[in-house]
Amino acid sequence: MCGLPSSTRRMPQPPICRLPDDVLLNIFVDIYGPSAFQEWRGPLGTGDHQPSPRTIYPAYDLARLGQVCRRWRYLIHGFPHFWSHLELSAWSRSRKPELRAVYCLERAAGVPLSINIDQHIKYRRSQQGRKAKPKHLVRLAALLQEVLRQVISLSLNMHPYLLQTFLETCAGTTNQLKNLDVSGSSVLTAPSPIITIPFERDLGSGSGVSVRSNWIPAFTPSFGMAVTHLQLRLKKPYAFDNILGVLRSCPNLLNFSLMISSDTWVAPVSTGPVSLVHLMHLSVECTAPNRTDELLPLLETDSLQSLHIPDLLWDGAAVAAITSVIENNKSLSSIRLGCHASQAVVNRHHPIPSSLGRLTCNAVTELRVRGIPTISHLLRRLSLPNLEHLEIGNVPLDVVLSLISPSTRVKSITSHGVYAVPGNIDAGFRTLPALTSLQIKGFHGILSRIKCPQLKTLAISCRYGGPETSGQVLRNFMTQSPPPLLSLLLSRVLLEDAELL
Amino acid sequence: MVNLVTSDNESFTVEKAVASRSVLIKNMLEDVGESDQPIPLPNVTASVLKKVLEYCDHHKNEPMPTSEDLAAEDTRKRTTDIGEWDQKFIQVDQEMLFEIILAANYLDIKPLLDVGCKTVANMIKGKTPEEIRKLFNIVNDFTPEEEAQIKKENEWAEDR
Repeated sequence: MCGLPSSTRRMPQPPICRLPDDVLLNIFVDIYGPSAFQEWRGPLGTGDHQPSPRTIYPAYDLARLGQVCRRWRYLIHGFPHFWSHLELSAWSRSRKPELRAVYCLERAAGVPLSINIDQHIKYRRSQQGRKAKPKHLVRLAALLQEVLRQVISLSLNMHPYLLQTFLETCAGTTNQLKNLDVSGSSVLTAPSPIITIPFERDLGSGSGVSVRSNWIPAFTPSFGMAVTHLQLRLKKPYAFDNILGVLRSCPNLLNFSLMISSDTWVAPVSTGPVSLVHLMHLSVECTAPNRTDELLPLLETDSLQSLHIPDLLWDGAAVAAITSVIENNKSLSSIRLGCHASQAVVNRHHPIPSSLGRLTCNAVTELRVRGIPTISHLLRRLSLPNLEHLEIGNVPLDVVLSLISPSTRVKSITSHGVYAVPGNIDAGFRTLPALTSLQIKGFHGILSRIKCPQLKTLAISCRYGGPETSGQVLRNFMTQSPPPLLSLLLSRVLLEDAELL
Repeated sequence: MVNLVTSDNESFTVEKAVASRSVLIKNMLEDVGESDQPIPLPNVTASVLKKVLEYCDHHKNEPMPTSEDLAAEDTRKRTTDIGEWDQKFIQVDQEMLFEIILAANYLDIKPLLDVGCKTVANMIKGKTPEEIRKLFNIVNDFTPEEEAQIKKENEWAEDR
C-alpha cells in the first residue's frame, strides 16, 4: 500500500510512498498533465493543430495510473484538472466514447473543460445523404450540453450534417467559451453550407471568443457580439454574401483571417459594406485572383494595425483597394503584401506617375512586399517615417531608397529581385543609423547608396552570370564606411580571397 | 559562509550563494541577519545534504526562478526533458532519488524538485500498473471486489 491514512502501518514504506501528495501530483502532471496537451494543440489559428499519437488519449493513461494502488487512485481521481481535457474519437456506434465522457466529466466537476470530438472520415462518407440522426452522437451532445457552461475550448471535426445535428443538441449558454473550432470534410460540391452555432452568451461575460471554421458559421446575436477572432478556411464553393453576413454578426471582431482555396464562388449581391470599427488584424488569402480586391472595399475599417495579403493580383483595382485601406487606417503598423502566382512580371520599366501626393503613415514599422513593378506607383507614394523592418522584392531600386529615406529607425532590410532603372536615382547617400541587418538577393546596388554605421549582419546572394556578381559595389561599400560586421555571408559574389580577408 | 547542521548532527560549511539556492535557508538567513549561528536542518541527513549541496554548487551562478517564472511554467509547455549535467547528477539509487526529492521539497529548491519529479515521471511513462508496482515496490492494496469494480468502471479503456 502507498500511504492512504492507516493505523496499521508496520512495514517500512517504499521510498515513493514517502512523497507528500503535492509532490506525487507534480509527478503525475509531468507524465500526463493538462499542459501535455499544449505539445500538440497550438493556439487557435497557428495551423499547428495536429494531435500526436502519444497524447491523444491521456485519459487512458490516467485510468491506468489509477490502478496502481488506492492512494494513487484517490489522488488522480481527486484532481479534476486531469479529466478536464476530453478527446473523443466518435467514429463508431460503440458506447465507449460516451462512457469515457461520463467518466471524465464526473471527475472534472467544476473546472474549465476542453473538448475535442472527432468523427472518423469513413463514418462520414458512409452517412452522406442519410437523414436519420446518429444516436450515439446525439447522446454525446446531450452530455456536453449539461456541462456547456464549463467549456472553454470546443473542437468538433465532422461532416457538416453531423456537425449541425450535434450543435443543435448541445445548444445553450457558453459564457466561458474561448475557442471554438468547427471543421471537417465532405465531398459536397454545392456551396459551403452555413453551420448554425446555437450558442448564447450573457452580456459582458468573460473574454472574447476565438472561432475557427472551415464552414461559414451563423452566430446568435449574443454569441456574435462575443466573437473577437475569426478564422475561416473555406475549401468548398462559397457565397460571398455569406462571408459578409457572418462579419456583420461580429461587430466586435478584432482579428479576421480568411483563407479561400476554392475557385468557385457566388458573386456578391449589393448589400453594402460591413463596418468593422474594432478590427485590428486582417489577413486574406485566396487562391483565385481578384477576390481580395473585391472584398477589401466592402470592409469598412479604421483601426487596423496589421494587414496581410499574400496572394494579391496587382492590378489597378488592387492598388486602389490597398491604398484606400492605408489611407483609412492611421494605426496600421505592419503591412505584408504578396503577389499572386499567376501574375508574371511583364514590364520592368514602369512609368513613374507623380501626380498623386505622398501618403504619410506614421504608425508603420514593418513593410513586407513581394510585388511586381505595378506596385511601385503605390510604394513611391508612401512616406514611412518610423519604418523599422523592410522586406521587398521585384521593384526598382529607387522605390527601396524612397521607402527607407524618411526613417532613421530602419533596423533590417531584406531585398530580392530589386533592379536598377537608369537615370532614376539621385546620387546622394542615405545614412541608416539603426540598420543592423541587410540581406540582399540579386542586384546589390543599394550598397552604393547607403551608409550603415551599425551594420552587424550582411548577406548577399547573386545569380550565376548576372551583372550583379561583380564585387566592385561591395568593395566600395566596405572601403567608404566600414561597418562593424559580425556576420558576412556571400554567395556568388566575385571577390578575390585576399580582398575578402 | 553558512553553517548547516543535518538531522544526524553533521555540519556543512558552504558559501552563502550555494546555501541560498534553498528558499528556506535564504529566508532564514534574511531573518537572522549577519550571524555565525548554525542553521539546523532536522529533515535532511548528511548523505542527502551532501548531494543537494553538490547540485546547489553547480547551479549557484544561475538566476533564481522568480514567482513570475514559476507561474509562466504552469501555463507553457512543460516537458520531461532534463539537462545533461542534471541527468548524471540524478543517476542514483531509488532510496537516494526520493530522499533528494523530499529534501528539495523541504528546502524549497524548485529546480531540483523538478529534476527529481521529471526523473520519476520518465520512469513511470509507458509502464503498466503491475510494472509500476514492481518498479517502486508498491503493494497492490485493492481488494478483489475493488479491482472488479475498477475494471467495470474502466470498460471504456479496454481494447481501444
